Amino acid sequence: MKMLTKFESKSTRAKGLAFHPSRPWVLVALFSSSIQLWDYRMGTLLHKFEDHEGPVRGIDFHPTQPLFVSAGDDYTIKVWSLDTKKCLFTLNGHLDYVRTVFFHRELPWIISASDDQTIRIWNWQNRKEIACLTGHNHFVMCADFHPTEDLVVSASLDETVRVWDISGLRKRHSAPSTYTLEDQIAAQQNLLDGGFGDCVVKFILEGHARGVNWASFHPTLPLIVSGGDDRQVKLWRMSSTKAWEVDTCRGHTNNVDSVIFHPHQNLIISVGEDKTIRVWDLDKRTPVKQFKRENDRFWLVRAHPNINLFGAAHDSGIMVFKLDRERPCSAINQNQLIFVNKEKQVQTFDYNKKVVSLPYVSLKNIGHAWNAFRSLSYNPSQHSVLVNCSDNQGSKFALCPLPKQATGAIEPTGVLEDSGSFATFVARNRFVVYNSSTSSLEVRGLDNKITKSIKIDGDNTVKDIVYGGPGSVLLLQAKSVTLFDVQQARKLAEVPSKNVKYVSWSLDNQFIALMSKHTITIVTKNLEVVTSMHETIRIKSAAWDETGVLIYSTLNHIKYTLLNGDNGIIKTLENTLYINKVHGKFVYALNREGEVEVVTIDPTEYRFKKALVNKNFPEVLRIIKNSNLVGQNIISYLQKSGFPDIALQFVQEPQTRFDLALEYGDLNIALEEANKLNSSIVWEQLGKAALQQGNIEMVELVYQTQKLFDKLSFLYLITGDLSKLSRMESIAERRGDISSLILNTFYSDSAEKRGSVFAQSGALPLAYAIAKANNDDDAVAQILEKAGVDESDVKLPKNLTSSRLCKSPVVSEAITQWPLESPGASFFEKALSGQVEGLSLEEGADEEELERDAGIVAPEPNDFSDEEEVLEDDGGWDIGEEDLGLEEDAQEAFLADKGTAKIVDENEVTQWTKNCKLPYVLIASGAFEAAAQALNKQAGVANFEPLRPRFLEIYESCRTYMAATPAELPSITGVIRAVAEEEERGKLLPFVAGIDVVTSKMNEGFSLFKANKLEAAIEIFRDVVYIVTLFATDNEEDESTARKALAKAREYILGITIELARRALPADQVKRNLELASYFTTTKLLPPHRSTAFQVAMSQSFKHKNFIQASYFASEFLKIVTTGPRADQAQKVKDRADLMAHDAIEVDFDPHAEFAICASTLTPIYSGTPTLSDSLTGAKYHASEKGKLDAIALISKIGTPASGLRILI
Amino acid sequence: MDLFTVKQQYYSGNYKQALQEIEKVASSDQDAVVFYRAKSLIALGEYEKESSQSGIATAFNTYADIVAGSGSLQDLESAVSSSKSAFSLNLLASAQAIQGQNEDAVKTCLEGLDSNETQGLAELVLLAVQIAVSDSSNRSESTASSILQNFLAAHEEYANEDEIIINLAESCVNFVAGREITGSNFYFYEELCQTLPSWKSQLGLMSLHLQQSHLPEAQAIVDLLESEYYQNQQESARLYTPQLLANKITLTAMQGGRVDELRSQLLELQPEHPLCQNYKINNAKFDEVVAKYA
Repeated sequence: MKMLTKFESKSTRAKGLAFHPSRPWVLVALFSSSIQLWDYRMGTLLHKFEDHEGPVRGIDFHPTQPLFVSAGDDYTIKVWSLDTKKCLFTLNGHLDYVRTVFFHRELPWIISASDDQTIRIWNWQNRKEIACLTGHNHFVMCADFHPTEDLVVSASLDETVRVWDISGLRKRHSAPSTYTLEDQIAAQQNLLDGGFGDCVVKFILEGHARGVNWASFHPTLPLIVSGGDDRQVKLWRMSSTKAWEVDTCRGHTNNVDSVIFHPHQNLIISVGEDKTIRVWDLDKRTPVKQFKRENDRFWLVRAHPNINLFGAAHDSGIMVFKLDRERPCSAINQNQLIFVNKEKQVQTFDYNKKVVSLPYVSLKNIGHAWNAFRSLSYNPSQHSVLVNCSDNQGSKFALCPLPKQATGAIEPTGVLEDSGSFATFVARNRFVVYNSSTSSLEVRGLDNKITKSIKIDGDNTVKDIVYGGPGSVLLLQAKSVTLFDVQQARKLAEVPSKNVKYVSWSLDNQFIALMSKHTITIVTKNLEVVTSMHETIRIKSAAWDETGVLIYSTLNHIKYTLLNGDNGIIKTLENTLYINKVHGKFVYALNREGEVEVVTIDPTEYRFKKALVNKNFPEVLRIIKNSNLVGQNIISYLQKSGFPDIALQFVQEPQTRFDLALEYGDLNIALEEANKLNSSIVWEQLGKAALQQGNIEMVELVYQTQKLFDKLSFLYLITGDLSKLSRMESIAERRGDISSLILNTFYSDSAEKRGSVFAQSGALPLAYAIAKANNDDDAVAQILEKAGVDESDVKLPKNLTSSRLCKSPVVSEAITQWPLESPGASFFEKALSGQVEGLSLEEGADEEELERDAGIVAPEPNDFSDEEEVLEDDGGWDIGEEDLGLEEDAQEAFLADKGTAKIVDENEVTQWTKNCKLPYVLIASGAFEAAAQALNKQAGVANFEPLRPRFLEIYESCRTYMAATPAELPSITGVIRAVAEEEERGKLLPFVAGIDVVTSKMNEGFSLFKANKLEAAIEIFRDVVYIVTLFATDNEEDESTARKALAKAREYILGITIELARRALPADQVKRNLELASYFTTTKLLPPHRSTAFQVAMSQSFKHKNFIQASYFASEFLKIVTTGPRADQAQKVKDRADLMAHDAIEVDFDPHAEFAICASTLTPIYSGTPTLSDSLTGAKYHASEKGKLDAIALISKIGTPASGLRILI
Repeated sequence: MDLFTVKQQYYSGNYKQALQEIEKVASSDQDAVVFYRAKSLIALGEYEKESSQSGIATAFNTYADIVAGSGSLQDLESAVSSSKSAFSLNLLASAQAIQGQNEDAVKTCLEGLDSNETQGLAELVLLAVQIAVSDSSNRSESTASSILQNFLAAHEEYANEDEIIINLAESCVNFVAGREITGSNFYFYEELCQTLPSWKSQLGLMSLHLQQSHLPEAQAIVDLLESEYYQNQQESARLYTPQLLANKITLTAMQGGRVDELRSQLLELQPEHPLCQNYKINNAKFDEVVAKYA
């Protein structure tokens, strides 16, 4: 048994608590006089009720009405409204502290217990006290109604528990519709009588040696449980006539303050001032479990009236908890769900037939009593289950074979039980168990024998282990999730993710949803994060539907999420469900009762969004056409996600259409809608948008409709439409709008007009200034005359000239439309105008499909079943390749090859070549001719003989042979793949030796070089070239390493060739000797090797009295080797050579010039002279060498046009 | 009659032990017993012709000749037709397969499987599967797996002692199809090597290691088989050295090493090995390539 804490509040001492019957609310009565209302699901404080004076002790929600009642040390009982959050009324009457208050489950009654030694019953509707039960002769600590019968149980410090019969009270108060005066008198009389008559003591239970703090009825059985200051919990039984003590549970080390029965299980739960919550077995009266808090005394424990939750009040707040997990564990195999029901029986559910089987076995006696199983793993080949069970004492698992047929809850046979955690099948005859003491993973056979033990490194404790694909498991650790290959004992991938509790694999096994309490992280099968999302409500379960949408459940919702993180609510749940499969519109789930529920959902919304995200527009259109999806919600979604054009198709309302059209940029629709709306704001928006798009005509139209004359003038100005501009001038004139007219004269640069306007409107000085500036003498005279002044009277500013700023337009014709590239109709526009072929919009197609889908549940890929996998032979060449010519040739050649090649497994080997057409893969498949063609085209390879061993070895490295039985039969051939467990046919590829083969060869070459075994070294470096030529890798890093190795090998081969040529020279060819020695130094060897070249060149030059060159080589040498005897010698040579400072023989070597060495003639190629380079090795040649064999690798032809070697898969 | 241990030993390649177990079985004239004794003896190279004229014994005499390279198929056919049983058909099919008549061999097996025989069917299934997967012209693996599936569908419950045979057949299909390489197929051989270690089971495990590119593990098996202990099992060493060589060639090729020497050893020892045949075909193909581009 485990205590799963769901909520904790922090406050001062809490004396009471109450659960709301339907909402996730809990009321807390505090010693500090206030009452708190918490949402325990969200963990938020909703309200504080302050009206009591002094500590509040009793608290209760009404079972159906929005009411609650409280009572405390101010002697009062208060009834509150949850709606107004106000105290409705106060019930006065008690003469001392009130300890507890409870509502009656059906009658409008409240019962209270008080230190005034009475229990009172109140009618909260007429706010009257209807009974006062006297008899206890000390404080009454608690009193409550029986859930169904007319009984009351009370506990008192007088060391008794009393049971009261209140049937008389019901009789009196249930019938009358009105309260007559007599009734009231009788009631008063009854009160005075102390309740005798209506409420009589039925039993007095004596047995506690000290005061009794609490007593509760059993919900269904005639049992009472009580707890007292004698630190004991007592169980009492009653019949109709008597009651007696059954047994005592001893264990609390201080006062027991509250004790209740578990509502569904045979358990007693008690709390006390010894800071413990204790759970007892009701049948055996033995302790089952205890939970201790360090510093807080417990004051009260209460069960939720409807769901499996408990609350306990203590010194610093309350806690809400569960006593066991309610998640029924399950596993899916093909079309079956295997699950454990509430009675711990194994059942199956057939998704096709939608029927639940009879129980196969009962696992009641397996694992810890009172503990649900934590997880279940199913093995189809043995038809057995592994169940895990854990509690504080440790973890156990059991391997239980199931009977072939389900016949009922029989005892299982052949069960293996052992300790260990998270047992999970990894293959048909293997399962793993986590041993937490050694933190290692044990692989066990079906006989439970350990075949392998793998230490899990790191301090990251393993919290759970789940299936991780064939032969692998996912280790759920505190801070990360690790994909672990059990068989190879190595970590394949890891993703940091905290406290992942559950995992759901997508149907195609490509994605995994990792669920922790509040987070879902979707990762690929290689644990690369795709998306991660947070949920405020606790996440419970998830399953992928067949289209790759994750459907998940929280405590109260079914929701979906797409791979891009878009999510939403599909349905609200009344009860928590654990989803295990989604198919079409059916969600299959287990509820907390351990029953299968099939929930019908509407997948339209998420399918729609998914289609949208995937740009699957035909689907989007179909969904829209066939469902009533369109609503403001979806339109705003479309708008938000950047699909205003789609949204536009489904809206009628002009304003929305206008907004969407503007967003999408469709001016014509916007104009259409603007005409309907005809408001200045809309026109203004349209005008702006049209201007932005350069749609001048529309801008003009808008300005015209809106009579925006000045804007119109400006528009004509900027578009160069002079005729219209001049018309605007006359319009302005006609309108008599002088300021507009003047503006227009500016735009049209008509000074004369402007002058006359000024003159007419009386601004003669301005008119005069204009006339003067433009040297219009007539006008000047007229104005002077009109004004009656002399020219000399007018003082004009200096530098008055005519305007020179105005330029005539550069365009001859006015621009009407800014040239824009037409976007073409969107898919939707086309579709709606019937342009998309094959898009028949059958009504209800979607629905039909869903119905159909629901019937056929696709078989779950099961990685260790024996079932034959149906291989799809995909005849098409569906791989997009750039070099089409080559591929077709290769294909033909391959087909030609097939006739003769002995192909092991036609399917797989053919598949290799379909998946990749690198020469390596073609060779591995036996398509030598195709590979040769590819090499010829890519790298100009023409001499294949040196590649023969590589070809054969590649072919052989991808095949292994197994002896047949009997041995005289031919051996059986199996292929070796790049990735052994690869299951996707589209990714099958042959084994390729790693890049380390290349690097180790290089190193071998280096050491041979160092050992001066040049002939052997050159062979090795050629091998490197061959290996790289026929290499294949799927990562760019290896590719670049390989290419670098090839380049390096080329330099060594060239260098060694030069050196070998030099050594082979007859002694008299001094000049050539010196030249070759100096060329040797230009090859790009590793520095230590290059130093050797410098040394050779230095000593040769020195020996033959080429001192300048010797000095050069010596100084180059000294740049690499700075100390040691060789450096000393070089220094000496340099010093001596510098003294001489002349060259005896002129050689063709200029250290300061740029040149390459022709690999064939071993002579320099200075820049500027024509060169060829080999397409495979990159070696440089004189143009004269064209068509000869490349001297480096001896396989390619110099100067052959080639597309370049490809080795990246 | 319980042949459980006999079959365990025989199919894991421990022929001597299989013979010892056969001696413990009381009824020695049953076909199954004769079959396994003769087969074990042939495997050990110790078969001597029986004078007994019982049907299956005659067939075995001819079969032993065919294995040795002499003997004619007609003789065997006539011997078998005179006493048809699952076991004699097994011999005929094996002989046909040895002579490369795979199609006929599969037909012979199916004839036995369709008959009313109760004994020796598992053996026939294994044989049929092996022949089917070694056939290059057909879509071998699907034929093999359908043979196996049909058998399993028809015989939901087979004798416990036949489990190893069915497992072998299954592993054979998986091996060729490349399924369960890291899973059950690997575990099958791993377990076999633990419970019934032998040349044969070690070589099987090695192939699975190779399929997973577990080169150090594969190398360890090579070292093990070349150790004194295994080399002293002369009969098995003789029988399975070509197989070891073939696997060593694969391993060396995977390591990027040169295989010419190993290959010529194998060519000498067992030229009809599929690796050698592939080599010959590929070599010829390569000659064409060289000639074409020269």
